[in-house]
Amino acid sequence: MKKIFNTKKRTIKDINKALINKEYTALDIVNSYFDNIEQKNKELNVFLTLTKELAISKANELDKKINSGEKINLLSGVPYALKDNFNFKGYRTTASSKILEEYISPYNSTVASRLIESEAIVMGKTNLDAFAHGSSTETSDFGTSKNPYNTNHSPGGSSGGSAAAVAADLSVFSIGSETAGSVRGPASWCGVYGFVPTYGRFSRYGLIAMGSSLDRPGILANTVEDLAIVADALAGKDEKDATSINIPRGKCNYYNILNNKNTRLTIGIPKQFKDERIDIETRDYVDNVLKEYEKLGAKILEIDLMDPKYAMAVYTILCRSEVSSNLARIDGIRYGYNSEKIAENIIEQISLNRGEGFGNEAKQRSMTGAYTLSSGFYDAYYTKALKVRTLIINDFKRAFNEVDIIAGATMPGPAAIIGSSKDNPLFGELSDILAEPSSLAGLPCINIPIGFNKEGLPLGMQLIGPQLKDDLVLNTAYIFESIINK
Amino acid sequence: MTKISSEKVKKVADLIKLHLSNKEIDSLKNQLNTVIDSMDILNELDTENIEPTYQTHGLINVYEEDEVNEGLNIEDYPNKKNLKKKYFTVKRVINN
Repeated sequence: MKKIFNTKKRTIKDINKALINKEYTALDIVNSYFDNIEQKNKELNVFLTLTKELAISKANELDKKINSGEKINLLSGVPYALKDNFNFKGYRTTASSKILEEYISPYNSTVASRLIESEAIVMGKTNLDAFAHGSSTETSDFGTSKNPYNTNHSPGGSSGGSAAAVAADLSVFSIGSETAGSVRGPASWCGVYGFVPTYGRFSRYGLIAMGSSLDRPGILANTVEDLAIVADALAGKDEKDATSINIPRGKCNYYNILNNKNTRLTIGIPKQFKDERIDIETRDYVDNVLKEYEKLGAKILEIDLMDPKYAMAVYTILCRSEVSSNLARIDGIRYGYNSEKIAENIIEQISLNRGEGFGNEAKQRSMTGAYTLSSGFYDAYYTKALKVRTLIINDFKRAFNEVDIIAGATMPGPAAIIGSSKDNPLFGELSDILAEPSSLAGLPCINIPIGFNKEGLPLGMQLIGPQLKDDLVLNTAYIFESIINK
Repeated sequence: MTKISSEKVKKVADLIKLHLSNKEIDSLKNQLNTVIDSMDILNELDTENIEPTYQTHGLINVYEEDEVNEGLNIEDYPNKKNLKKKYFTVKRVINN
């Protein structure tokens, strides 16, 4: 008989407990999440592909295992949603683009294969801005996702589908990716936790590349503990990603050390993260949360960082340059969209496939990148941006001599109304202005949901830690979580 | 300030093998000029004697052992639309 599992704001441990105590079968749990998806997906446009058949067969396998008395993992049977720019073998990976609409992954991304090993169960692939180019999912070729708190508003992006999946209880956690703010931003707008570790901590293998020197897989969930559990499953050297950090799997025990709380930290608040560019309600909420933290013994120190407007220009140049190079591989020959038109030669055929297959944002970003990389402009734009990137990194290093961790608003304001990105070729970059400096430096960051504004839209605060101090970021967020839930 | 002309847009599109309609060329010209102008702000910063950063955690070159690995198994390749027997197919692009 079908038994309904209550899916509201559930955690990994809730699922684990229900399975171990045999209160629910893995199949009950998976089916209950699919019931939710069936009810809400049409309105929210979160999932582009469902992996229901696979999920049910995995749940049945797990139930057999449990019945035979075998031990299970913390993540066994936990439903999750995967952003549709991660390859999952045998299923579509569209990156929300028409050009890859029918592309089926011949292999697994490392994130997917590590989650398969952990026995977490994938529910489906989530919507994003096409090729992750945007901060609202409005550039998706398959429609905009909606914010579960108010469907007139965007869930943020590019991991908007993944954030909405967790916020609307369509999965327990989800996987997103961030080039600058694409995990933190939607987490903030959808009122969930969102974590990106130091660049290179989670493998990029099988994640459709946007800006290779910036891209990071990330996790979205209802609690910091859940982020830590999933981070343990994902972290560690991957031979298939040359830029992954050389710390072996199993060496990061974020979950086990989550309780190593240090309430006597010095927290730096950059002046530039609370100026008039930031929505006043967001500023007030951040201030209040920090004051509560101060009562526990932490020291709050105002610091001076470089104005994030420079990071935005650097990010625009570097990311678009890398986009231009990364999207060059998509030519519609071995896979992807193929134009019906008959071309005169192979170059023209490729140009037609790309011209008809790519949306405006991918075209615009590729064009900007090709321009900044082209002969005569390379030094003025690309090399200049790489040098300013060094200045930004040094700026953070200097700040971390004074403070342990940095805190501030995640986004300049709450979720934008759908349609806001129209006619603004820099909408993505402007929305992510508070995330761009730390992304360029590859620093570990987390969004913490800190409350709701007068309209009922979620607000978020971010923590930024020094390179490789992923544990410090998670542990500090864990303390904030206890303050907020009080 | 307009830096990029329609001709320049066409040239860049050719470089990246991207077919554009005339309407798109016009619209991209405006978008590109807005974006490129926003980058000029970096000239306010002195970067003399500053080294560029290509990689944030210090990697320079990463090489792998020259080993023979299993390649793509064509029998298993799921994008069948682009396959004929064991070969990738493309449309005929030579004029008759």
